[in-house]
Amino acid sequence: MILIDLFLSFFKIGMVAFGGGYGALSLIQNEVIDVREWLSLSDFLPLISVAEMTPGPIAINTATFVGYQVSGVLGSVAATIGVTLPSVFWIFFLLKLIDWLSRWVQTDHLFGALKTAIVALILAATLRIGIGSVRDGFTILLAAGTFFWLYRFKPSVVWVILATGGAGMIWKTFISLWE
Amino acid sequence: MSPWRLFLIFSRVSALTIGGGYAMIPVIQDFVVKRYRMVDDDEFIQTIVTAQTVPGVIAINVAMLLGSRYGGIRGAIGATLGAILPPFAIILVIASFFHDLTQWPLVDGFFYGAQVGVTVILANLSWQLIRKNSRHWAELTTVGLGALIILLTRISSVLIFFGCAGVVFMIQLMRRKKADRAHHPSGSSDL
Repeated sequence: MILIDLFLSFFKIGMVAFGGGYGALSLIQNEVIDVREWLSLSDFLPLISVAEMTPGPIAINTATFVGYQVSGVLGSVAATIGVTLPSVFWIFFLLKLIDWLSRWVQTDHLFGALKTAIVALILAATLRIGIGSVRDGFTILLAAGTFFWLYRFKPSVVWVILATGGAGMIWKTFISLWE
Repeated sequence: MSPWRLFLIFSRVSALTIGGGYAMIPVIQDFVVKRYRMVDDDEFIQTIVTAQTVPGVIAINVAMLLGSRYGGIRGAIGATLGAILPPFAIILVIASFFHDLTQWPLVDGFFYGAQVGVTVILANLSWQLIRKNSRHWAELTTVGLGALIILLTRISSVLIFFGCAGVVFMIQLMRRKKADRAHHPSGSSDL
């Protein structure tokens, strides 16, 4: 059943999303597009833009949105509970788990390795999403300019989304007037 | 502190922070340290460190940690629901008329540009993370290969993630042993 699948997928993502939002985002992208094939990349990209522009944690926003797109209001409830519940498990079992593990390994080394491994997920999501969205002359220029802006002046991600969205709007209007 | 009060505090935090994850931390800090004086700065930093060590949504982890400390299980439930409900409601409203919205050329143009913004945010984050680990070429090669495997094959990315973590852990273990031997050439390592 689709609701149970949604719950299980997002539960799995919540269980392993070390390093918070962006790690979760790359796991969601992989699960929703490649594994379950619920949405296409072009359906998924606007959802992330909205999730980054609206208040609240990105993982919650994305889970709610994807759940709705897949299976309506109930779908969004299933996905949101799914991504939240693992926190209950981790927070309340964490101290015992660390205590138990520390008999064999130094747990901060273990968590350090897990956090480094998250880079693989974020890198994969960057490439996957980049291939889908940076695909013509205008978007290549926009990406280069935005990267410089973000790197140099460190604006909030909301401004980045609003500015690039505004640029896209102007460019598309310009193109349609030209034609 | 009553669960209802915790609910109100965390729903305000969640409704007022845009940008997710790390952007939320200073706002949460402003609320729980300065306005409501739930914890002092040291306790707050300790909470954030714990919340980031475990997987999951950082804001939810913080809500659960502080909620349970100030109101037990019921407090944790109140704080967590408070953190979830505002974004949940906002997204639901947007999602319900999203399909019609994207039919407009202007909105379509907006997302055409905004997804470039999303890419750049992710690329910048990747770049920061790579630079932080730049002295360790073996780890970087591992995560680079991991990313390529995720991108090019259909193997579950959770599996790749744990595979990468295992390899990185072994690399770091060997490096520490080597450093240890360099420091104590005759003694045994106590790692």
